Amino acid sequence: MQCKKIQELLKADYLDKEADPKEEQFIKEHLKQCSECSGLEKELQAHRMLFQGAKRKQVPERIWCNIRDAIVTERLKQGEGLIRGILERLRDLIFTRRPAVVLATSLSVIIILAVIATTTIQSQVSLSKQNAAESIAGYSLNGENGYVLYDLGTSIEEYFL
Amino acid sequence: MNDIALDVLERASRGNMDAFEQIYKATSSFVYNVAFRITRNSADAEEVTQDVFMKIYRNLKGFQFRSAFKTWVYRITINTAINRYRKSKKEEKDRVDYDNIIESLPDNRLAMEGVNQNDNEAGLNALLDMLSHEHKTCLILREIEGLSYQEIADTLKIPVNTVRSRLKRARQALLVKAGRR
Repeated sequence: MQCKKIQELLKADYLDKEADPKEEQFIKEHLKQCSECSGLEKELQAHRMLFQGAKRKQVPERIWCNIRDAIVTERLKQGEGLIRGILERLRDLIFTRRPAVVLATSLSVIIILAVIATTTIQSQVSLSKQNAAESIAGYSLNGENGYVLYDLGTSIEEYFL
Repeated sequence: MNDIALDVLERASRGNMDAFEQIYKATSSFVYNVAFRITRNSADAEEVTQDVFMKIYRNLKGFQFRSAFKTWVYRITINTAINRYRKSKKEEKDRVDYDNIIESLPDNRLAMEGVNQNDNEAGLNALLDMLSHEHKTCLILREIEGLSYQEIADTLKIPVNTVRSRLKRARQALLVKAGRR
Protein backbone atom coordinates (compact mmCIF):
# COMPACT_ATOMS: atom_id res chain seq x y z
CA MET A 1 0.00 0.00 0.00
CA GLN A 2 2.76 2.37 0.99
CA CYS A 3 4.88 1.34 -2.01
CA LYS A 4 2.04 2.04 -4.45
CA LYS A 5 1.56 5.52 -3.10
CA ILE A 6 5.28 6.20 -3.08
CA GLN A 7 5.67 4.94 -6.64
CA GLU A 8 2.97 7.39 -7.75
CA LEU A 9 4.83 10.22 -6.06
CA LEU A 10 8.12 9.07 -7.59
CA LYS A 11 6.72 9.47 -11.11
CA ALA A 12 5.78 13.09 -10.57
CA ASP A 13 6.27 15.27 -7.51
CA TYR A 14 9.38 13.58 -6.12
CA LEU A 15 11.19 13.36 -9.46
CA ASP A 16 10.27 16.95 -10.31
CA LYS A 17 11.14 18.27 -6.88
CA GLU A 18 7.60 19.51 -6.40
CA ALA A 19 6.91 17.39 -3.30
CA ASP A 20 6.81 19.15 0.03
CA PRO A 21 9.95 18.68 2.19
CA LYS A 22 8.29 16.31 4.69
CA GLU A 23 7.00 14.09 1.88
CA GLU A 24 10.38 14.13 0.20
CA GLN A 25 12.15 13.10 3.39
CA PHE A 26 9.67 10.30 3.96
CA ILE A 27 10.22 8.96 0.43
CA LYS A 28 13.99 9.10 0.79
CA GLU A 29 13.79 7.04 3.95
CA HIS A 30 11.55 4.53 2.22
CA LEU A 31 13.88 4.20 -0.78
CA LYS A 32 16.71 3.17 1.52
CA GLN A 33 14.69 0.18 2.67
CA CYS A 34 12.66 -0.80 -0.44
CA SER A 35 14.51 -2.28 -3.41
CA GLU A 36 11.44 -2.22 -5.70
CA CYS A 37 10.81 1.48 -5.21
CA SER A 38 14.48 2.38 -5.42
CA GLY A 39 14.70 0.34 -8.65
CA LEU A 40 11.83 2.35 -10.09
CA GLU A 41 13.46 5.57 -9.00
CA LYS A 42 16.67 4.61 -10.84
CA GLU A 43 14.76 3.82 -14.02
CA LEU A 44 12.95 7.13 -13.84
CA GLN A 45 16.23 8.93 -13.27
CA ALA A 46 17.73 7.13 -16.29
CA HIS A 47 14.92 8.42 -18.52
CA ARG A 48 15.40 11.83 -17.03
CA MET A 49 19.11 11.73 -17.87
CA LEU A 50 18.19 10.93 -21.43
CA PHE A 51 16.03 14.04 -21.63
CA GLN A 52 18.37 16.30 -19.79
CA GLY A 53 21.35 15.05 -21.75
CA ALA A 54 19.67 16.13 -24.96
CA LYS A 55 21.83 18.71 -26.61
CA ARG A 56 20.13 22.02 -27.22
CA LYS A 57 19.96 22.83 -30.89
CA GLN A 58 21.51 26.01 -32.18
CA VAL A 59 18.95 28.18 -33.91
CA PRO A 60 20.04 28.58 -37.56
CA GLU A 61 20.84 32.21 -38.36
CA ARG A 62 18.82 32.14 -41.57
CA ILE A 63 15.62 31.94 -39.53
CA TRP A 64 15.99 35.52 -38.30
CA CYS A 65 16.85 36.69 -41.84
CA ASN A 66 13.71 34.99 -43.16
CA ILE A 67 11.57 36.50 -40.41
CA ARG A 68 12.98 39.99 -41.03
CA ASP A 69 12.37 39.66 -44.78
CA ALA A 70 8.84 38.44 -44.18
CA ILE A 71 8.13 41.40 -41.90
CA VAL A 72 9.53 43.89 -44.42
CA THR A 73 7.45 42.31 -47.19
CA GLU A 74 4.37 42.41 -45.01
CA ARG A 75 4.94 46.06 -44.18
CA LEU A 76 5.33 46.93 -47.85
CA LYS A 77 2.15 45.06 -48.67
CA GLN A 78 0.37 46.91 -45.89
CA GLY A 79 1.62 50.22 -47.35
CA GLU A 80 0.46 49.26 -50.81
CA GLY A 81 -2.75 48.00 -49.34
CA LEU A 82 -3.33 51.32 -47.62
CA ILE A 83 -2.88 53.30 -50.85
CA ARG A 84 -4.99 50.80 -52.77
CA GLY A 85 -7.65 50.99 -50.09
CA ILE A 86 -7.86 54.77 -50.32
CA LEU A 87 -8.11 54.61 -54.13
CA GLU A 88 -10.77 51.94 -54.00
CA ARG A 89 -12.72 53.95 -51.50
CA LEU A 90 -12.58 56.97 -53.74
CA ARG A 91 -13.60 54.88 -56.73
CA ASP A 92 -16.50 53.49 -54.76
CA LEU A 93 -17.57 56.94 -53.73
CA ILE A 94 -17.44 58.19 -57.29
CA PHE A 95 -18.62 55.25 -59.35
CA THR A 96 -20.75 53.02 -57.22
CA ARG A 97 -24.40 53.41 -57.99
CA ARG A 98 -26.47 54.40 -55.04
CA PRO A 99 -30.21 55.06 -55.76
CA ALA A 100 -30.48 57.99 -53.37
CA VAL A 101 -27.36 59.67 -54.68
CA VAL A 102 -28.42 59.08 -58.31
CA LEU A 103 -31.90 60.49 -57.63
CA ALA A 104 -30.54 63.51 -55.78
CA THR A 105 -27.97 64.19 -58.49
CA SER A 106 -30.57 63.86 -61.28
CA LEU A 107 -32.97 66.18 -59.47
CA SER A 108 -30.21 68.71 -58.90
CA VAL A 109 -29.24 68.63 -62.57
CA ILE A 110 -32.88 69.02 -63.66
CA ILE A 111 -33.40 71.93 -61.26
CA ILE A 112 -30.20 73.65 -62.37
CA LEU A 113 -31.11 73.21 -66.06
CA ALA A 114 -34.62 74.46 -65.41
CA VAL A 115 -33.31 77.53 -63.61
CA ILE A 116 -30.83 78.29 -66.40
CA ALA A 117 -33.52 77.82 -69.09
CA THR A 118 -36.02 80.03 -67.27
CA THR A 119 -33.44 82.75 -66.76
CA THR A 120 -32.41 82.66 -70.44
CA ILE A 121 -36.02 82.82 -71.69
CA GLN A 122 -36.85 85.67 -69.34
CA SER A 123 -33.84 87.68 -70.47
CA GLN A 124 -34.73 87.05 -74.12
CA VAL A 125 -38.33 88.18 -73.59
CA SER A 126 -37.28 91.33 -71.75
CA LEU A 127 -34.77 92.17 -74.46
CA SER A 128 -37.46 91.82 -77.19
CA LYS A 129 -39.87 93.99 -75.22
CA GLN A 130 -37.19 96.58 -74.72
CA ASN A 131 -36.37 96.64 -78.43
CA ALA A 132 -40.00 97.01 -79.36
CA ALA A 133 -40.50 99.78 -76.87
CA GLU A 134 -37.43 101.57 -78.04
CA SER A 135 -38.60 101.36 -81.69
CA ILE A 136 -42.04 102.74 -80.84
CA ALA A 137 -40.47 105.45 -78.71
CA GLY A 138 -38.18 106.38 -81.64
CA TYR A 139 -41.19 107.04 -83.98
CA SER A 140 -43.13 109.10 -81.55
CA LEU A 141 -40.34 111.15 -80.12
CA ASN A 142 -38.99 112.15 -83.48
CA GLY A 143 -42.38 112.71 -85.17
CA GLU A 144 -41.66 116.40 -85.92
CA ASN A 145 -38.31 115.76 -87.48
CA GLY A 146 -39.49 112.94 -89.67
CA TYR A 147 -38.78 109.28 -89.20
CA VAL A 148 -35.64 108.32 -87.44
CA LEU A 149 -34.86 104.69 -87.72
CA TYR A 150 -32.98 103.11 -84.87
CA ASP A 151 -32.78 99.62 -85.99
CA LEU A 152 -32.95 99.07 -89.67
CA GLY A 153 -31.88 95.65 -90.68
CA THR A 154 -31.68 95.66 -94.50
CA SER A 155 -31.67 98.11 -97.38
CA ILE A 156 -35.18 96.93 -98.53
CA GLU A 157 -36.57 97.70 -95.12
CA GLU A 158 -34.79 101.06 -95.25
CA TYR A 159 -36.30 101.73 -98.72
CA PHE A 160 -39.91 101.00 -97.70
CA LEU A 161 -39.69 102.97 -94.53
CA MET B 1 13.74 31.70 -21.47
CA ASN B 2 14.99 35.11 -20.40
CA ASP B 3 12.58 37.72 -19.14
CA ILE B 4 11.92 40.58 -21.49
CA ALA B 5 11.61 44.16 -20.27
CA LEU B 6 8.23 45.77 -20.68
CA ASP B 7 9.59 48.73 -22.63
CA VAL B 8 11.14 46.33 -25.16
CA LEU B 9 7.75 44.69 -25.65
CA GLU B 10 6.06 48.06 -26.02
CA ARG B 11 8.60 49.30 -28.54
CA ALA B 12 8.28 46.07 -30.50
CA SER B 13 4.50 46.37 -30.46
CA ARG B 14 4.89 49.82 -32.06
CA GLY B 15 6.88 48.23 -34.87
CA ASN B 16 10.46 48.80 -33.68
CA MET B 17 12.57 46.12 -35.37
CA ASP B 18 15.49 46.37 -32.92
CA ALA B 19 13.16 45.65 -30.04
CA PHE B 20 11.61 42.78 -31.95
CA GLU B 21 15.07 41.37 -32.58
CA GLN B 22 15.73 41.51 -28.84
CA ILE B 23 12.59 39.46 -28.27
CA TYR B 24 13.73 37.02 -30.92
CA LYS B 25 17.15 36.61 -29.31
CA ALA B 26 15.62 36.00 -25.90
CA THR B 27 13.03 33.46 -27.00
CA SER B 28 14.16 31.80 -30.22
CA SER B 29 16.15 29.05 -28.54
CA PHE B 30 13.12 27.93 -26.58
CA VAL B 31 10.83 28.16 -29.60
CA TYR B 32 13.18 26.31 -31.93
CA ASN B 33 14.09 23.55 -29.47
CA VAL B 34 10.51 22.86 -28.41
CA ALA B 35 9.44 22.89 -32.05
CA PHE B 36 12.24 20.49 -32.88
CA ARG B 37 11.31 18.10 -30.09
CA ILE B 38 7.65 18.09 -31.06
CA THR B 39 8.08 17.86 -34.82
CA ARG B 40 11.31 15.79 -34.66
CA ASN B 41 12.43 17.48 -37.83
CA SER B 42 14.73 20.48 -38.27
CA ALA B 43 12.98 21.75 -41.42
CA ASP B 44 9.63 21.68 -39.63
CA ALA B 45 11.21 23.27 -36.56
CA GLU B 46 12.49 26.14 -38.72
CA GLU B 47 9.11 26.63 -40.28
CA VAL B 48 7.41 26.56 -36.88
CA THR B 49 9.89 29.10 -35.50
CA GLN B 50 9.22 31.46 -38.39
CA ASP B 51 5.47 31.03 -38.01
CA VAL B 52 5.64 31.62 -34.27
CA PHE B 53 7.57 34.89 -34.65
CA MET B 54 5.30 36.13 -37.42
CA LYS B 55 2.33 35.42 -35.14
CA ILE B 56 4.06 37.29 -32.32
CA TYR B 57 4.80 40.21 -34.67
CA ARG B 58 1.22 40.39 -35.92
CA ASN B 59 -0.41 40.02 -32.52
CA LEU B 60 1.93 41.96 -30.28
CA LYS B 61 -0.17 45.11 -30.68
CA GLY B 62 -3.19 43.27 -29.37
CA PHE B 63 -1.29 41.60 -26.54
CA GLN B 64 -2.93 42.99 -23.44
CA PHE B 65 -0.26 41.81 -20.96
CA ARG B 66 -3.01 39.92 -19.12
CA SER B 67 -0.82 36.84 -19.14
CA ALA B 68 2.96 36.73 -18.96
CA PHE B 69 4.63 37.25 -22.30
CA LYS B 70 6.66 34.07 -21.78
CA THR B 71 3.53 32.00 -21.24
CA TRP B 72 2.01 33.49 -24.36
CA VAL B 73 5.07 32.55 -26.41
CA TYR B 74 5.10 29.03 -24.92
CA ARG B 75 1.46 28.59 -25.89
CA ILE B 76 1.88 29.83 -29.45
CA THR B 77 4.91 27.59 -29.85
CA ILE B 78 3.20 24.46 -28.57
CA ASN B 79 0.08 25.00 -30.68
CA THR B 80 1.99 25.83 -33.85
CA ALA B 81 4.38 22.89 -33.41
CA ILE B 82 1.61 20.38 -32.73
CA ASN B 83 -0.32 21.58 -35.79
CA ARG B 84 2.80 21.31 -37.91
CA TYR B 85 3.54 17.84 -36.57
CA ARG B 86 0.00 16.67 -37.33
CA LYS B 87 0.27 18.03 -40.84
CA SER B 88 3.62 16.34 -41.42
CA LYS B 89 2.37 13.12 -39.91
CA LYS B 90 -0.52 13.05 -42.35
CA GLU B 91 1.90 13.43 -45.20
CA GLU B 92 4.29 10.87 -43.82
CA LYS B 93 3.47 7.35 -44.87
CA ASP B 94 6.00 5.32 -42.99
CA ARG B 95 5.19 5.17 -39.34
CA VAL B 96 7.92 4.42 -36.85
CA ASP B 97 8.08 0.74 -36.16
CA TYR B 98 7.67 -0.11 -32.52
CA ASP B 99 10.48 -2.68 -32.53
CA ASN B 100 12.89 -0.12 -33.91
CA ILE B 101 11.95 2.22 -31.13
CA ILE B 102 12.70 -0.36 -28.51
CA GLU B 103 15.97 -1.22 -30.18
CA SER B 104 16.97 2.41 -30.34
CA LEU B 105 16.40 2.89 -26.62
CA PRO B 106 19.76 2.99 -24.93
CA ASP B 107 20.46 0.76 -21.99
CA ASN B 108 19.86 2.33 -18.58
CA ARG B 109 23.45 1.89 -17.55
CA LEU B 110 24.68 3.58 -20.71
CA ALA B 111 22.23 6.38 -20.30
CA MET B 112 23.45 6.96 -16.78
CA GLU B 113 27.05 7.04 -17.89
CA GLY B 114 26.41 9.40 -20.76
CA VAL B 115 26.04 7.71 -24.11
CA ASN B 116 27.02 8.76 -27.56
CA GLN B 117 25.09 11.90 -28.42
CA ASN B 118 23.55 10.41 -31.55
CA ASP B 119 22.24 7.37 -29.69
CA ASN B 120 20.94 9.63 -27.00
CA GLU B 121 19.17 11.77 -29.60
CA ALA B 122 17.66 8.78 -31.34
CA GLY B 123 16.56 7.26 -28.05
CA LEU B 124 14.97 10.50 -26.93
CA ASN B 125 13.11 10.97 -30.20
CA ALA B 126 11.95 7.37 -30.09
CA LEU B 127 10.67 7.82 -26.56
CA LEU B 128 8.83 11.00 -27.40
CA ASP B 129 7.32 9.49 -30.50
CA MET B 130 5.59 6.84 -28.45
CA LEU B 131 3.65 9.38 -26.44
CA SER B 132 0.46 11.26 -27.14
CA HIS B 133 0.71 14.99 -27.87
CA GLU B 134 -0.54 15.86 -24.41
CA HIS B 135 1.98 13.67 -22.63
CA LYS B 136 4.81 14.58 -24.95
CA THR B 137 4.23 18.31 -24.53
CA CYS B 138 4.18 18.12 -20.74
CA LEU B 139 7.33 16.03 -20.70
CA ILE B 140 9.22 18.35 -23.06
CA LEU B 141 8.26 21.45 -21.10
CA ARG B 142 9.21 19.81 -17.83
CA GLU B 143 12.28 17.73 -18.69
CA ILE B 144 13.91 19.70 -21.46
CA GLU B 145 12.80 23.27 -20.82
CA GLY B 146 12.59 22.93 -17.04
CA LEU B 147 9.22 24.65 -16.59
CA SER B 148 7.51 24.32 -13.23
CA TYR B 149 4.13 22.61 -12.88
CA GLN B 150 2.50 26.02 -12.56
CA GLU B 151 4.17 27.34 -15.71
CA ILE B 152 3.12 24.26 -17.67
CA ALA B 153 -0.43 24.64 -16.33
CA ASP B 154 -0.53 28.31 -17.40
CA THR B 155 0.90 27.52 -20.82
CA LEU B 156 -1.47 24.69 -21.61
CA LYS B 157 -4.39 26.28 -19.74
CA ILE B 158 -4.95 23.20 -17.63
CA PRO B 159 -5.04 22.69 -13.84
CA VAL B 160 -1.78 21.87 -12.03
CA ASN B 161 -3.19 18.48 -11.05
CA THR B 162 -3.71 17.65 -14.70
CA VAL B 163 -0.06 18.51 -15.37
CA ARG B 164 0.90 16.20 -12.52
CA SER B 165 -1.21 13.31 -13.79
CA ARG B 166 -0.05 13.76 -17.40
CA LEU B 167 3.60 13.62 -16.35
CA LYS B 168 2.89 10.56 -14.25
CA ARG B 169 1.15 8.79 -17.13
CA ALA B 170 3.81 9.81 -19.60
CA ARG B 171 6.54 8.36 -17.44
CA GLN B 172 4.51 5.24 -16.78
CA ALA B 173 3.97 4.84 -20.55
CA LEU B 174 7.70 5.11 -21.16
CA LEU B 175 8.42 2.46 -18.55
CA VAL B 176 5.82 0.13 -20.02
CA LYS B 177 6.97 0.65 -23.61
CA ALA B 178 10.54 0.04 -22.61
CA GLY B 179 9.33 -3.28 -21.17
CA ARG B 180 10.55 -2.46 -17.73
CA ARG B 181 7.26 -2.23 -15.88
